[in-house]
Amino acid sequence: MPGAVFRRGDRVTLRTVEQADAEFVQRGHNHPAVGVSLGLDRPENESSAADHVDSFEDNPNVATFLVCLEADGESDSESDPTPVGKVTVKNLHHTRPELSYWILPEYQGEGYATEATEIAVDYTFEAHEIRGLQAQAFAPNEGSVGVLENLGFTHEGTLRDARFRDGEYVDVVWYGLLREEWNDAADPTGGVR
Amino acid sequence: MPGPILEVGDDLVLRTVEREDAALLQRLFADPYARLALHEHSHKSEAEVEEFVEEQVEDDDNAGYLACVDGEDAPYDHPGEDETEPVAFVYAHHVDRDRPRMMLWVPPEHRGDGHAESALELALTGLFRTYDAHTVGAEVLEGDEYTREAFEAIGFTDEGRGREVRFVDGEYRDALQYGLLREEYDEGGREGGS
Repeated sequence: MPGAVFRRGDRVTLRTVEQADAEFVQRGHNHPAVGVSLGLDRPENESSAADHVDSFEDNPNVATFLVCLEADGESDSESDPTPVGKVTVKNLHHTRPELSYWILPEYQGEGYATEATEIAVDYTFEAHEIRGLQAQAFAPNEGSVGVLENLGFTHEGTLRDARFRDGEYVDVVWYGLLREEWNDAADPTGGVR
Repeated sequence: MPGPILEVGDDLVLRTVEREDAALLQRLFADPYARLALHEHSHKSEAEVEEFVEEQVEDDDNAGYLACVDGEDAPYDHPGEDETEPVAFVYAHHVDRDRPRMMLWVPPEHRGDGHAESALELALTGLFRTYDAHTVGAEVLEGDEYTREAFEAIGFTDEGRGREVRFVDGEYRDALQYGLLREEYDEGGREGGS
């Protein structure tokens, strides 16, 4: 069961990941439509999912959140929130930390990833003295690439045949976003966000 | 000094990296461009570099080579100090993965000798015939012209530019991404590549 609300959006909340959420993390990581896109290449049992949660908890350079839908749309509702995915920023001590995210297939196509990552990007620029952010995706993963383009990330490179995934070598695309680009986009006079 | 010969080229041989080469490699970690290619952000003591040799270079996941100019009587196994001269360090990280990452460091006093390209070429020969990597990659920081030219000369393709990814030498600098596919290397008709 996800923990406290950390940031709130219009439709989703970002909540802390609790040890009890290992089962949810495991469900996502093992789903072929999620795990393969993340570059995971073997099954993950509940204990290794729990280790994954632990290792993120112990790492001060990681911020990770569960993307949740609130019952009745209210985050102060008595009912339990429904976790639908996860957003992570890794290497917070680097010049450009790395953003990653996944949404369970049954909740994809609703714009939840865009909304959740937008909140996470806002938080990261506000809380950390970073120069920018970066993200990578397998080129065939249009959903993931679409999220980055929605957020205003710039396509910075395509590493040819860089990973073996789903039976073939695929290109890996890299995207980057600099602080001033994010700030400019947030400026209501010139912004589209 | 470096150990036994792994690959033989026209002017250079590749030899194993030994723990006693830590003193030479310590200079690599004093070069901000070179150490960042190893994802290391600070200089290191000799003891730390020995640890790097022990934990990284000696790890089966990685491959490190010292390219050397051998004297006429240099033995195959363990040359003495006056029998060989290390002129470049080439390192490949995660040789068992889809895309090993290569780095090159040439000590400044050897940068006019034209050895960089031969050292990379020999290391690629060794890598592609030892490991089944489909492609290799390299990240070169903006401002490190010497290394960039060496990777371009050997046929690596410019695949992208991460903007202001690293803070190096007083500035945020771009990271240039390079890649080389096995088939491109084979088609290049390199010696020993066919």
